[in-house]
Amino acid sequence: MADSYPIEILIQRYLAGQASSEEILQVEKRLVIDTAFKKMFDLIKQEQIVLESLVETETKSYVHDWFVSQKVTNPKPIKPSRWAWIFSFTILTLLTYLYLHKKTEVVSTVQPLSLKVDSTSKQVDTINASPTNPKNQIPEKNAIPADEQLSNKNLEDVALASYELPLDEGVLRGNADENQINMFWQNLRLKQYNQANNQLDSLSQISGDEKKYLLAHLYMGQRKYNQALKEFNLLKNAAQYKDDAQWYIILGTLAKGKKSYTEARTLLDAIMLDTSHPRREEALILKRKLIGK
Amino acid sequence: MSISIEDVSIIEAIQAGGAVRQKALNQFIYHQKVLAEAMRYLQTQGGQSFDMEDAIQEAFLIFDRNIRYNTFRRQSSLKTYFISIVKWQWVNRKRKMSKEVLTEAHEENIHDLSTQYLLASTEKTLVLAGLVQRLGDRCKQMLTLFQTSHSMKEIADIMQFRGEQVANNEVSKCRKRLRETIEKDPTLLEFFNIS
Repeated sequence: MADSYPIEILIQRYLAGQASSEEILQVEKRLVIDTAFKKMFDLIKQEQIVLESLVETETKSYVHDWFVSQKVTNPKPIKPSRWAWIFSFTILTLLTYLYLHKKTEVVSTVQPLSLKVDSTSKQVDTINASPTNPKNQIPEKNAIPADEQLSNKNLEDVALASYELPLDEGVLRGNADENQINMFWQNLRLKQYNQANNQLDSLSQISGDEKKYLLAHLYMGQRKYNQALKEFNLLKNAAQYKDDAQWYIILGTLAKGKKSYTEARTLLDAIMLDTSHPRREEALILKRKLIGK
Repeated sequence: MSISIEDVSIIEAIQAGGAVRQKALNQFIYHQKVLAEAMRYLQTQGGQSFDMEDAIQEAFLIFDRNIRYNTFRRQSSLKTYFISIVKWQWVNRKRKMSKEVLTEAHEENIHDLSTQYLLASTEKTLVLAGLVQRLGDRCKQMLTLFQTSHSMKEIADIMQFRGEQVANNEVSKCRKRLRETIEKDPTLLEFFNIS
């Protein structure tokens, strides 16, 4: 019976398509004859539209997160900009010039020798022209790698573009912390760090390593890279987290900017050399981004 | 085709709301790999990345809403149902762009889908966003949790309230504030057509 519900609930049931035929008749009849009821009906209807718009935003975030995760796994090839072409051309010209310049030097050094020691001229020439001869090597400082063009801001952007929260929500733990952990990740995704922090404090049944892992991600989200690195470093030898920790250490180190760039590259190379590392593919993609290839 | 037990549990979890809904939606996306399949379909239809994300988001909204309001008739698997919404959504988008008329046969297949929300104009979206903004972040979060059927206990936990009663009071306050905002603003009244 329609009267068994308060008016508000009755209207909500009607709007949600859950009302019985009797209730539908009652609502539609009152809409015609009762102005106050009509006003209440309109208000609840508009409230529902607003509330649904909130749910829409939340629901869309699931799809958006998935797309972000796909972009990280399958990034689009980076198209070099016009400036990258100009830069590459300049570098190439410079290298060619240096190469030719050095070759001239080699020839001028070899010629007097060949006059004096004719029988060994070929050998001397070979030695002087050898690429292992320091004289013939282009000094490394002259070759400016593309990655040196990256600014602190760019490095942070590159690091954060490669940073993705782990997909942990589906894990069933069967303990009191399960919901809290899910909410922690949800809040982290929504950038609600204070709430995520509170949830972290309330966890009681997780291991110390897992807590460090969650805390490290919270710091990463807050862009507190030094603190994040400190936590991830504590997990470098933890069986469950070491691979992830290595990867996130690279991203955290990179995000700190130029001063720690070399360190990040060394760590990145270490993962790339380890063919069985689960993050190797992501490391390759990151390196390509850094060197602009 | 009968619906699988896994699908039934996903439906029940989405309808139950709260944290279990979140888990069910993630399971549907990541374990059943439905979005990947939807994207493959759209790629074959010449979809561009921005367009595809938009279309899939809209389709996912309809899917979620139809499950929550129990309008899904359970005559196919959830995956098939979702993909059919994506296809319908894509045809509609194309139709809007090229002014083509949707065939009757196609309309018949998707008659149980809610269309009212798809017709929301950009203006409406902007008004709603402005209104929600006026409620403040905490109110916005609380009402989102409320509308996605989180229990008062869950709301209390997430929002760090002392108990369910406090959560209940806070949600009521927010709803009241929302109604007052709609009532007091003549632009909104006009927009929502309330006399």
